[in-house]
Formats: sequence, structure tokens, C-alpha cells
Amino acid sequence: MGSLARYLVIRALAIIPTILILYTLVFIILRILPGDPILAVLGTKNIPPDQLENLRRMAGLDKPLYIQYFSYLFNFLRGDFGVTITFPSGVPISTYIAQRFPATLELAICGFIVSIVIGLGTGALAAVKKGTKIDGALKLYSILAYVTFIPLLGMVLQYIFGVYLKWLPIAQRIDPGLAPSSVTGLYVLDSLLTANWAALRSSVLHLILPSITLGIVLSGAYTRLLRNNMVEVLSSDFIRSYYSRGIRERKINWYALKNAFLPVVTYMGLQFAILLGGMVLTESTFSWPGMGTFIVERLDYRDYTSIQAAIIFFAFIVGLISLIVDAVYALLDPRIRY
Amino acid sequence: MPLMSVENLEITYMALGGRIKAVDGISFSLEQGEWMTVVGESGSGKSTLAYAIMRLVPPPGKITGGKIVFDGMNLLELDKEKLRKIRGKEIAMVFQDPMTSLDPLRRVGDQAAELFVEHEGLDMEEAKKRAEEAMRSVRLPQHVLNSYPHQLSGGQRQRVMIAMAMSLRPKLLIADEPTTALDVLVQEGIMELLNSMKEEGTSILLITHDLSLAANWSDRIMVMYAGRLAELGNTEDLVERPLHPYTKGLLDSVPDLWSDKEVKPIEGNPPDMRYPPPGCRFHPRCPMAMEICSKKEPPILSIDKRIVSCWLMAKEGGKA
Repeated sequence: MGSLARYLVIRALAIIPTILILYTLVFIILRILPGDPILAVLGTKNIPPDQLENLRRMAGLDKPLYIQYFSYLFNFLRGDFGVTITFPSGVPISTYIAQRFPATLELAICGFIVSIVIGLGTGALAAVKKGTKIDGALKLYSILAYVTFIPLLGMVLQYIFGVYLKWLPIAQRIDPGLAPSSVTGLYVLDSLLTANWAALRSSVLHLILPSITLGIVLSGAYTRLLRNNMVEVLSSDFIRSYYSRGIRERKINWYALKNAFLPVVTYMGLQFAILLGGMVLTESTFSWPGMGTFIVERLDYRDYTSIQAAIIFFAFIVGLISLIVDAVYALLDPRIRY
Repeated sequence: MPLMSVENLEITYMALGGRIKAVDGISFSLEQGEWMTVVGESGSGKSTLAYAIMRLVPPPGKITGGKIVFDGMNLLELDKEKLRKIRGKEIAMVFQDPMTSLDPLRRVGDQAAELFVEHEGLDMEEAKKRAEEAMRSVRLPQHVLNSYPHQLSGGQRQRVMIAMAMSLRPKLLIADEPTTALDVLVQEGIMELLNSMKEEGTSILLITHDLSLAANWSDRIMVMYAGRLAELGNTEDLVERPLHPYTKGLLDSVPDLWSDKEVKPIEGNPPDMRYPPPGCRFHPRCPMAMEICSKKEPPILSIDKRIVSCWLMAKEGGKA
């Protein structure tokens, strides 16, 4: 496994250029967007130009762009994410991330699990029932799930289960005043660790609708991918060879699923990037106080540093996840040794 | 009573362009402890025949007629569970490509032990012991059990497949071109393993395109051409005195290191099975073809202990 460790270190180093490129893109796009942090907050109020200049200087926006670019980069590499520019100004962004990231992580994990469970279940079913009506229906499902706009699905579910049936909450992470004392910031985990059952119940209930929304939309691709992989595996020599040895069909299907699952693992790393994009929409739909809503709020204020920090942080997480996925793949497939 | 008798077996592939009869009215029987080899070119239907006995004809193929009576049961009428109990235990099969016949994600030992769990209800520990024995019987080192398939050579993998096929002492072993993917030295060892099974009473049905392999090892040989039986007989008779021109052609096309015999390949190619020629399917390539050959299907004749399907023999007074 020494070589696997070496491989992982190299892969980890490869995250750095990815983040650099992303930072550069975000930096440029933010500067191209009309408006700046000062105008975004003050709006069209009549402010004397010299006072406006003063505010700009305080925020460091008077400096040439390349200086803004590199000074933020160096601060970031030192672990300093910077402070918010406006509304409120001067708050360390790391405090926001510490608050918001666990919320995002919790929802992302749950949505991811839902997508895997639905995706693998439907994909395997479609493969085993290849060519039947069930297969056709699941094909339709996967396409619909894939193209569904998250807010639309979210609102439909909110209407049915929240407004009409009144079974589930439709916004926020937990009922007011119930938040468990923070250990990890993940409410479900924290309420378990502190044996706070009221908080557990509330946080789980709050998680259901956004996780299902996110999970359904992400599951479409898995359904299709797994189905096609598994159809191929089921027609392979070793499956026929299992049958010739009189192994029970349920076992054979399980082995086929394991083989068909491998390429899906690779795809999961990619899917996680899409998942974070989906997070922004899901969080907005369910007023979830995570990183996604944070970016949307800060975008309104053209808060350059906050957005840069949040997106680089996202990129870092995506890189980390794909690293983990690679390691998991190597562990699952005995043929792969680095 | 023979161990297995196949009667008028018909296997059809439902292809888009129409129906293809890959096996068209094949009948033969196999005795307990007998080694029979089915020889034919690619597309002759010999592998399809083997899969049919296992009831593993890949779709869109279907068994569309006939009977396969094995040990008193018609295999074509069995339900899934009964079939499962026969596969691996009563009838075992070894496939052509050992590289792809094992699950790449599971250790060889787990795959081998599973057989004893499924068929004899052993727990995993006992099953592992039996798997060890099985590997010993094919002279594979014990570490093979802890290996993944990709860590073994092709010959080792085929030995693993044979060890699994042998381990439950099946009454019939079907081997579909078991050595085609392996080199010649390994081939010899594999054949010896099959022969040792035969000596313990297992019937062997070997499928191959290699007539000299068939001649070296089997008791009887069946020659198939384009889905039909051309000739079936005792190895010695068939090799020394072939009755069917196709058998003769096959024998002439086998090079012999020890003689100056001229190698004469059979002219032409096997027919496109979507549009098989009328009459005898071999007639367009047959050097002895007569007028009747292109018009009427030849009868299936029994001559001594031989079965042959050729108009030449009908003329020479063979009985239908």
C-alpha cells in the first residue's frame, strides 16, 4: 500500500492547480459583474464621491487588480480566508464557513445517500427486468429525474408534504430553540452525541424533504449508469459461469451489482461537483442555512472576498472527495494497485 | 440406458433478419463414463449445443424443439430450482476463456467454496477445506485460494475452473473449447485432467474445432456441419475410414508432423446460416456432390456403429 499512499499524495498535490485556476476564474468573473460591493450595499443613495472613494479604499478596492489578486491569494495560502467587505463588514469569513459548512455537509451527505439508494435500487431492478415495462418505466424515471429543476421538485414536495399534508417542515434545519450544543456542527450527529432526542427528531424531519429533492435529481444518472453497466455484466462470461455452477440467482445478481457498481464509484466523484451546484438550489428552495445560501446572499452584496473564499472552499471539498473516491475504488477493485 | 440422450434438438436464434437454426435436428446419446467430442467449424452450432444441455443458451437463442433426457429427466422441462441443483452438481461445465470465467472481484477460494455451500449446505469453514482439496486434486498450490483471478495465469485459471467442475463429482462434464485460449503445453495437462475425471466415471462432452485433439482423447467423435450432424462414430473408425466427405476434408486439412501427407484445406466457407443452402448443407463445398445433394436433405443413416448423413452412403446401401 506504500505506492497507494504515494499516489494519493500526488493526487492531493494536483488539487492545488485546480484551485488556482478556479480562484482566477472566480476573481475575473466577479470583477466583470456590474456593480461593486460599495454600490451594492449603498444602492443609488446620493453619496459624495470622496466618501465613496474612502469606502473603496477601506475595502482595498482602490488597489490595482493584480495586487488584489495576489494579496488575497497569499492570505488564503496562509490560511486567512479574509473578512467580509460589506454588510456587515470586517467579519472573518471563517466564522461564516464554520457555521454554514456543517449544514451543507449534513444535507449533502443525506442527499447523496438518498441518491445512491434510489439510483442503485432502480438501476439494478431495471437491469434484472431488462426489456420489460418496468425497465421502460425506470428509463423514463431516470430521464425525468435528471432533467428536473430542483426548485420545481422542491416546491411540489413542499406543497404536498408540508402545506397540504402538514407532515414535514419545509424550511430551515431545525425548529427554533432546539439546536443541539455544537460538537461537529452536524445536527443529527450532535443530537445523538448529546442524547438530545427532541433535537434529533426535529433535525431529521427537517432533513427529509431537501434530501429527497436533492437525492431524486441526482439519482437519475445513477439509475441509467448502473442499469447499463449491470446489463453488460449480466451477459458476461463469469456470470454465465456462476449459473453453470448452480449458484442461486439472487447471489449472482448481487455479484453482478458489485461489478456494475465499480464504474459508478468513479462517477460519484464527478457527481459530487454537480451535487454542490445542486446544493445552492436546494438550500435556496428550503431556506437551508448552508454554504449555498451563503454564496447567494453574498453575491447580492458583491462581497468579493466571501464569494472567493466560499467557492475555493467548495473546490477544495470537491478535490478531497474525488481523492477519497479514488482511494475507495482502489480498495474495492483488487485489480487496481498504484 | 445411456446417461444422456439428445433427441431431435432444435435451437433457433431469433435475429432481426429472421430466424437462424443454429442446431437443427441433432440426436445422439452418451454413455456413463464415455468421452465424446463434438467437432466442427465456427458457427457449426457445437457450442450452442453444449449450452443447451446446460440450459444456458444466450438470448436471443431459444430451444425450439426436441428433448434432452439426462438421468431419466427431460432437462428442457425442469423448473429453475431443479435446474440449479443439477448445474454444477450433476452436470458441470468448463468454458472457453478462463480469463473471463471467474468473478474478478472475489478471491478464488471464495468462489470455489461457494459451490459446497450451495450444493452441500456446508458452512464456510468446511467449504474452504473442500476447496483446498479441490485445488490439490488439480495440482494447484494452496495460495491460489487467496488470490484474485487476475493474479493467476490462464492455465492456472482453467485449472481452477476444472477443479470447481470436478469437485462435486458430476455425472457429466461439458468442456467448451477448454484449451483454445491456452498454449499447447498447458493444453496437454488440461486434457489429462479431463481424462482422470473420465477414469473416475464422469462422462465427458468436449467441444472443439481441433480434430487431432478429439482423435487423441475421445472414445467417440461427432462431426457437426452448419447445425446438423454430419457423422458420428468411434474415434478409430471415424479417423481411419471417414464416411462423410466433410469428415474426410477435415482429416485432410490437419497437418501431420510425422508424414509427408499433403495438407488440403476444405475449399470455400461455411454457409451463411440465415440462408442455408437447400438439400445437404455441405454440397456447395463437397468434391463428391451429386445432383440430388442440392435438392434433397440427405437421410440420417446408421451403418454398423456409425451414424452418417450423406447421399453417397445412401447409395451404398446404408439403412435409414
